[in-house]
Amino acid sequence: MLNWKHARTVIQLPLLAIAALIVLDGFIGPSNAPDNFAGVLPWVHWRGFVVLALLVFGNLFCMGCPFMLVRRPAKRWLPARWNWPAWIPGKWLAIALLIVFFWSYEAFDLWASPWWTAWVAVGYFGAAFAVDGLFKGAAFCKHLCPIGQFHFVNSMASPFEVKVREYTTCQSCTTKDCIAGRHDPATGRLVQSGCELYLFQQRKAGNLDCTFCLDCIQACPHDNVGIIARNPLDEFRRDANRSGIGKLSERLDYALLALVLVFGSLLNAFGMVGPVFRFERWLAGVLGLESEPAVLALVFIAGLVVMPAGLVVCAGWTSHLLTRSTRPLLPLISRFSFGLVPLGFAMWVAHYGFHFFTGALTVVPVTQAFLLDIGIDLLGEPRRELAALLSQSMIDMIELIVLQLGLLATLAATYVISRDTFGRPRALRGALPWAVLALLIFIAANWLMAQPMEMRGTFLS
Amino acid sequence: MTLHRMLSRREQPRLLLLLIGVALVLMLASMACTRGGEESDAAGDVTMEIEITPDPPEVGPAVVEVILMDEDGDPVDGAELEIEGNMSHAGMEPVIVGAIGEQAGHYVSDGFAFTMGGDWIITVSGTLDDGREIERTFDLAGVSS
Repeated sequence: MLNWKHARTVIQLPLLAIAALIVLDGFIGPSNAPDNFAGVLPWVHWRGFVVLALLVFGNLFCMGCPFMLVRRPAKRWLPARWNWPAWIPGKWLAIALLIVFFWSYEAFDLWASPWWTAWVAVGYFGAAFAVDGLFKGAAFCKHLCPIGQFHFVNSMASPFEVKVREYTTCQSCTTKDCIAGRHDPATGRLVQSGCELYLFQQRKAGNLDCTFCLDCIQACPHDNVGIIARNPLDEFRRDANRSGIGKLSERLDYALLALVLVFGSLLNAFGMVGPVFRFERWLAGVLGLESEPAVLALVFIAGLVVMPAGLVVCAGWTSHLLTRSTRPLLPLISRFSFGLVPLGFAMWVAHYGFHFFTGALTVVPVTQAFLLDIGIDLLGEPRRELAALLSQSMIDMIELIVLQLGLLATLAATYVISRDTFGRPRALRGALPWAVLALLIFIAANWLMAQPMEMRGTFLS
Repeated sequence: MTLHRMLSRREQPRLLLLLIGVALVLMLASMACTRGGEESDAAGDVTMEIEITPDPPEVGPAVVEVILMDEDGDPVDGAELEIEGNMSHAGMEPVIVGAIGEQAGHYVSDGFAFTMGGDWIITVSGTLDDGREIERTFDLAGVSS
């Protein structure tokens, strides 16, 4: 079924319809987020489904990405022949955009504004169209899309991967359609793209940068590529020379991306609890600042750049000392940073899972009101009392279990990385500082989830 | 050189399609708050104010007092009102209670409580004595936890 040419489109079309509904209601619907599809579907349901899909499957939401539907006309209508600029390689621009997105989410209360949420969606369609219409390959996905980076990094903890079934089949393959694409022998015309993120299946390792777009699966003439179950710890076992990426120990940009998402998981939740407002007010008073975006910018620079950098340098340096390693410090820090991904992902699952399980049913009254407003009396009067899918005690228990599993997975990943880096006799000593850092993050995550929620748009007024 | 001549025969309909798409988005964006918003309040001449106790508001039981007045400042009695509290973030269970009419255009919530700290949206809706519908929304920032 995955080999069917339109398999991805079938998944994308319903999500395109939902995106259109979000834009439509964001623009013409009620300004109150709880009454509007643009307030409910992206911030409650989509985020919840994303983390659940990553947890039980893989990068399903890049596979179904509706923004990519505009790539097809963009590639046909615009030149699409430029190479991505060499002076902004890898993930640097994506990291900046991700930080800007996290900051603007808090600074401009995107969650409380259906109108701005609709504009974000429109902006996404426009940016995907323009970037992929001008540049070769999947430049938007690889170098820009903040949502895609979230999926890429967190799918390191997913149980499924797009990978080769039998490597011996690849060794005898002469056409390499999975990367080069399949061409019509008669006309020479490209009939099926290969991987546009430049992941050559034979050397692809792990889920990083894989959009599950199915191109390689459909291009392979031997039916030798599929979505295959795996042990997520395999992501961390070897410092493989990954196709399209290289060795993770040598990719500082990927490591920083991972760290931004790990610490972003804490900061994103931190922005919704009571103590943060008292801290931000205190900070504004000390610095004499009256601009909330400026105060938040300082908090984000501290929380996403300064603090993570300080903590991982400390952990890496201590690890270096304990193992008496002669290896350079930076590659070591880069590689070990990925070990924190499962714990960061667990925090995202706990946070977004909380919103999803607390408010999944709120889509029912919003749908009822929408239909009534457009003159369709099909589902009756809005049942505004509907909200939670699970009881609060059950949600609390799930959060706790998920965070504990995240810690265990990070400890296991850290040990695996340490064993591969320093050898079995020094593995525990090498992993110890990172385990302490993981424990600190785990304690911070539990403290945050135990705080009473206080979702404020303003804290200085 | 005109745009018509600059673009090929194939490119002209594509540009037109793009322009129609952009125009549609801009038109939609400029139509903010029209879905269902016009019918719910037919009492423009009636002013509504709310007062909340405790002040400043905090998590826990609270009293929302609604005051209705006509354009001459006279109290409007006999209305049947419902008070709904929502968090500004979607996905939270709303608090929906009735309001008991007291004297001189004052109505008091029956069992209202702030279930969570943060920004709230208070919506008061109902029917006036003369049958007209009324609905007003108030933003309430910073309910402390």
